[in-house]
Order: sequence, then structure tokens, then C-alpha cells
Amino acid sequence: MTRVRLTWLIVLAVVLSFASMTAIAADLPEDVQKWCDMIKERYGGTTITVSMGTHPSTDAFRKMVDEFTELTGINVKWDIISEPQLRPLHMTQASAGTTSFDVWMVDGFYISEYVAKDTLVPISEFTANTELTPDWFNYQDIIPAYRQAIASVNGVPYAVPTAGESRFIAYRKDLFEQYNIELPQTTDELLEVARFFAEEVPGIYGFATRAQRGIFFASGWLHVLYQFSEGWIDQQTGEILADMPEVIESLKYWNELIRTGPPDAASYTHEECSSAFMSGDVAIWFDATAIATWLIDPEKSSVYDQVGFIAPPEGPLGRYAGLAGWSLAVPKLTNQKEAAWAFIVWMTSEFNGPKYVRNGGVLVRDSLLNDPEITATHPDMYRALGDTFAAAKNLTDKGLVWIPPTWMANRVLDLAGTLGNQALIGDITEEEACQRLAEELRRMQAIWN
Amino acid sequence: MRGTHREQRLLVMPAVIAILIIGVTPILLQIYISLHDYYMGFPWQSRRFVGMRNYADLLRSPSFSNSLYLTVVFTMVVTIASLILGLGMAMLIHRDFRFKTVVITSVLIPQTISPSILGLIWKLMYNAEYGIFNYFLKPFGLEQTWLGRDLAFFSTTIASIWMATSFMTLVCLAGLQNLPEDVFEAARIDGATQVQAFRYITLPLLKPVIGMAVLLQQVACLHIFGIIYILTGGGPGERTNLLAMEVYRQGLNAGFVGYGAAVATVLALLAFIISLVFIKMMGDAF
Repeated sequence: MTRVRLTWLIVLAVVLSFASMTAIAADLPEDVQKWCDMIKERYGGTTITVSMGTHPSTDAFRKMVDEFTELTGINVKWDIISEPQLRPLHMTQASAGTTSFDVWMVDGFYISEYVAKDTLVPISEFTANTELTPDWFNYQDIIPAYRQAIASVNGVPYAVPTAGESRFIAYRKDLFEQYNIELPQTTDELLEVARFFAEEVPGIYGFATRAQRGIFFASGWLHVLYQFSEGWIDQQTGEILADMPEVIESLKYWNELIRTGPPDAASYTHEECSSAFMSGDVAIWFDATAIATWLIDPEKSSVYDQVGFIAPPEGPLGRYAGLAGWSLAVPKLTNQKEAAWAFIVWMTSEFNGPKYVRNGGVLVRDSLLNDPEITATHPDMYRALGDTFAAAKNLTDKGLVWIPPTWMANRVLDLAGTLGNQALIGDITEEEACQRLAEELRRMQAIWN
Repeated sequence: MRGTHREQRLLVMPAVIAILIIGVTPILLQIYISLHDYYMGFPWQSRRFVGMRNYADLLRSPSFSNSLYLTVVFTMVVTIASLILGLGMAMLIHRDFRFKTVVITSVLIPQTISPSILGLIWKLMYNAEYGIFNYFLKPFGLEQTWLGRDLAFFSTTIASIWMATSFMTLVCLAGLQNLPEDVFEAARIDGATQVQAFRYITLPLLKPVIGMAVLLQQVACLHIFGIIYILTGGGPGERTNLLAMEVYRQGLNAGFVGYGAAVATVLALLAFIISLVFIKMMGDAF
């Protein structure tokens, strides 16, 4: 290659690079560009480290990060581990009075613990600053139930939801049509339908969900607990309710449902129960809304075109649903709080919401839930999602939080999930499980109070 | 001579110091924490000295005694089974044959894969609906719920024996390859059968190697965690909740660091006692 030609190639490459940069800039509204320029001026050249779990939201953010770095000059390093390891990692660092991360991905299950241990910066410290938090971020557009349930404690927000989820029902439309089964609306109807498929239809199980001991089992139980009772702990008075007859009834009901499923369901996580449904062996699936897209993915599911969705059933006390999910938060121990917040603003803003969802992120905003372009992809699923959020709102309207609001929530869930799982396999009765749970909760209450 | 002894001590001192710092200090810290109430995430200064209360709690705990029992049974079964299988495989491989290198490399595979990945692989194989074991058993009506209540411990043990056999095979093979050939030659000349040669020559000569392999395998079994965490999570119920799982549950998962440290200390003590007894039994072999 001659020197002249090489020179022209270099010039062309430089021109194209500038062109692409200006193309990015040219697409941005003026207020967004202005914010990016301000961030670049103040924090350009900074490197932040983001601690996240393996999750569709993480994948979506990683696809968006090059643009963020280009516009703000903030470099991003990723530390991605499996979800259950995030909390122990963060708490271990907090115990040592340090953190190597500037942004934490926080599980909604444990937000009370994170706050009780004084590890997070309330987001009001950032949202009050209109320079750092522009209008196009629009925190209020995030689904209120998510804001309250998975990112706030006692009404104070400490994180920004990025992947809210609940649980709902997927069912095999073809089987329901073939056997002329009506969609179950109540807990009794759901159990009756599950039993029908398990007992009357060869080769088909009735119901699949995650039921492995510990938090897997407990989170499932929690989804029917409030249909029957006021929960394991009275959230107003702190009285332990785990040994009340209504709670025992909820556990018996949940175990009866699981027993209509595959014989090794007691070892199932969300992966196994979804695989069982996707391989065509199960009539009803009950699990996280965030992974519902697996069931209708032609590359994953052998029944992708036969799946319908409905909200959780109504029980004796009403129709409720849990809310779980993930948020991004700024740990108190970081020295780069503003740069970390800039990252969170960019990734979770209303402005970038459609891009986030297109990249595989999980929907958390009202504007997107009602966006016809998004909901048109699977109207049945989004309708059921809306109904499920309404059920979740029933719980918050009652003044209840789905996950026991104590910094020992993880221990409570592990205990409830182990005892419930023991009752499922018949090692103990449901009565014994609930009595032992109540005894242990009373002992732990002396500590967490 | 005294000068020589001093020089010898000076030469080993760096290794001793390294072992003290890396090995002993964490154990001392663990014991210290086990004497306190301390919850992960709270400042270190929040710890509260409670003496032996954590140990008293764990001795009263049905969960702990179940874990202890399971751990001892698991360790004995996996160690003995993997030793028999490993020694057998080593004897089979210890000869010249075609594709010997391929066979030895295959034996290495379990050692090269992370226990958590192995757990995932076995979990898929054990799945009652689409696992490969039931795929072959179903036509005969013999399919099982491998990770159900009755078989979970058995299934976990089998997967662990598979892993451990690889280690035992390699160690025994290395030992066999270092045995002097002339002793076997003399035995052949004297008319000893293969069984007699194995019993009266191979085994006694291999005793130190087998002893070390068994010792290391026992300790590995006592601390096993990754494969169980993935395979069953310690369930169903508490059917596979071995001591290392209990340490994780209490110390990391629940954040009861003081109590978790007490369980870990008991586990370390168990490993120490078993190792000490075993070394005494092996006598001059070590």
C-alpha cells in the first residue's frame, strides 16, 4: 500500500469516527445533550465499577454502555457474578467498611437489610439536584408498586428499579381447549384444574413452579400466603402469625399444587420448572414474569405458540401478587457517588427506556407498559402483566409489603423455605413446619428488634 | 552440628511463617469470631462477645446434628468407594495399551471442571423428565426421582464418587508407576499369582500413597460444597445439608457470621481429628 493511499485511509477513518460521534450527538434532544456535556465536563475520565448479577437487565445495560461512555467520558468496568452471590459480596465488603464498586445491583428481597445496615445513599440526595437528575429521567414514570416494594424502605427510596417482576400463570392453550377447561380464577379452581391434568391426562403434569428448599420455595409460598392470611408476621404490630391456621392452610394449599407436578419438583429452581413447561410436560406454570418470554421463544420452547397467561388466582382474602426485582443503588462507601448516579440516570431513564427494553431489559415503566409498540408483541402476556400488577397493588393498598420487612429477611425466607420444603416431601407435616417457623421467628425477633 | 541445626531451622523458617500466616491465622480469627455475636454487613465494632453460646446453640440444633451425621456418612462412603474404584482403574490402566494417553486424559476430566459445572451437568442427567438416566430406564419402567426425598443423598454421593474416583485413580497410578519392577519379577519367578502379588507386594508398597490419597480425599469430602449447592441446595428438606452447606447457610446466607464460624470451627476440628487418627493408624507408612 502506498504512503499516499494509507494517509487517505487514515483521514477517512478519522472523519468517519467524528461523523459517527456527531451522528450520536445529532440524534440527542438538546436537554439530553446538555446533561451529557455537563457530566463529561465534571466527571469525564472517571472509571466506575458496577456490581451486577447475570440477568437480562445486565445484558441490556452492557449493550448501552458504549454510548454512555462516548457521551459522558465515564468509563465503566463490570463485575458480574451470579445473582445469589451479590448480597453476600456486598455485605462482606460493608462489614470491612469498604467497597470496590460504585454501583450495586440490589435484590428487592433484601432492600430492608441493605438499609438497616446503612449501606445505601437515599436517592433523594441525587434527585433533589436537578442538574444531576434531569427531567427526562422521570422517576415518577417507574411503576409505583415497584418503587415502593423493591426500592424503598418506610417510604424512602434508596434505589432505582431496573427489573421488576411478579409471578403469574402460564397455561397450555391447546390442552385447555382440548379438554374444555375454563381458565381458573380462584385458588380452588386452580388446584382443581391442576389435579385434573395430573390425574386424568396421561403424560401431562398439572403444575410446575420452583420449590427447591430455601428462598426458591419461600418465594413461591409467599405468592399464595396473602390470599389466605395476613402473612408470617403482622406488619403493623410485629406479632408472629406463622402458626395461625390460615398460614398452615396456605402452606397445605401450596404443597398440594406442587404435588400435581413432576415428582422431583422439590429440587426445582426456575430453570427446571420452566424447562418442564417448555418441553410440553406441564399444563400450568407459575413463576416469574421476567422469564415469561422464555416460554414463548421459538428457540427455547417447544410449545411457544400454545402459551396463554393469566394473573394469580383469587383466594379467600382476595387477589394478591408479590413484587420482586432488582434495582441499581449507590453504596455509601463509594467515593464516586455522582458519577455512579450519572450511570444510573442514563441507564434507567425514561428517555432510554425503549432502548433498554429493545435490548432485552425488563419493563419497569408505566409509559412502556402502555406503549402499543411494545405490548403488540404479545398482548395476552402484557394484559396478564397489567392484571398481576393490579393484584400486587391490592397488597400495597392494604399496607402490606410482600417480603417481610426485616433486615433478617433472608434468614426468614431460608427458614420458611426449608421447613415448607420439608413438609412438601413429607418429612414433617405442614402444621409442624409452621409451628417451628413461628418458634424460630419469635427467637429471631428478639435480635432484629 | 548445632550450627547445622540452626541453619536448618533458618532455611525452613520462611515456609513455617508462610503457613502460620496463611493457614493458622484465619483459623484463629474464625475461632475468635465464633465466640461473638456478629451479623454480616454491620460494622465490625458491633460484635458482641458471647463466649461458648454459639457452640451451645449448634449442639442443640437438630439441623446441625443432621448435617454432622450426613457429613460423616458421606465422607466414609465416598472415600472408600472412590478408593476401591480408583485403585481398580489404576491397576487396569497400569500397562501398555493403545490409546493409553487418551484414557488417562479422560480420567483427568472431572479434575479439570469446576464443581459447580459438574453439579449442573449431573442435575441435568438426574432430571426425572428429560434426564439421560431416566431416558434409558423408562422403557423398562425403572425410572427414578433421583433428586427426590428418598434418593437425593444417594444421587449426590454417586456424583461425588465419580469426581473423587478421578483423583484416586491418578494418585494410585502415579504410585504404581513408581513401584520397583524387580520385586514383581522376583515374585513371578517364585510362582506368585497376580492376586498374591497384588495382596502381598503392591498393596504394602502402595500404602503410603494410598494413605495420603485417602487423607486428602477425606478432607475434601468434609469440605464439599459446590456440587451439592448446585445439585440440591442442601435439600430436599435437609436430606443433603452437609456441614459445609450449613456453614454457608448460616454464615453467608443468613449473615449469622458468629454462628457460622462456630459451625466452621467444628468442621475444621472434625477434619483435624479424623486426619490425626488416620495418620496414627498409618503408622510408619507416613
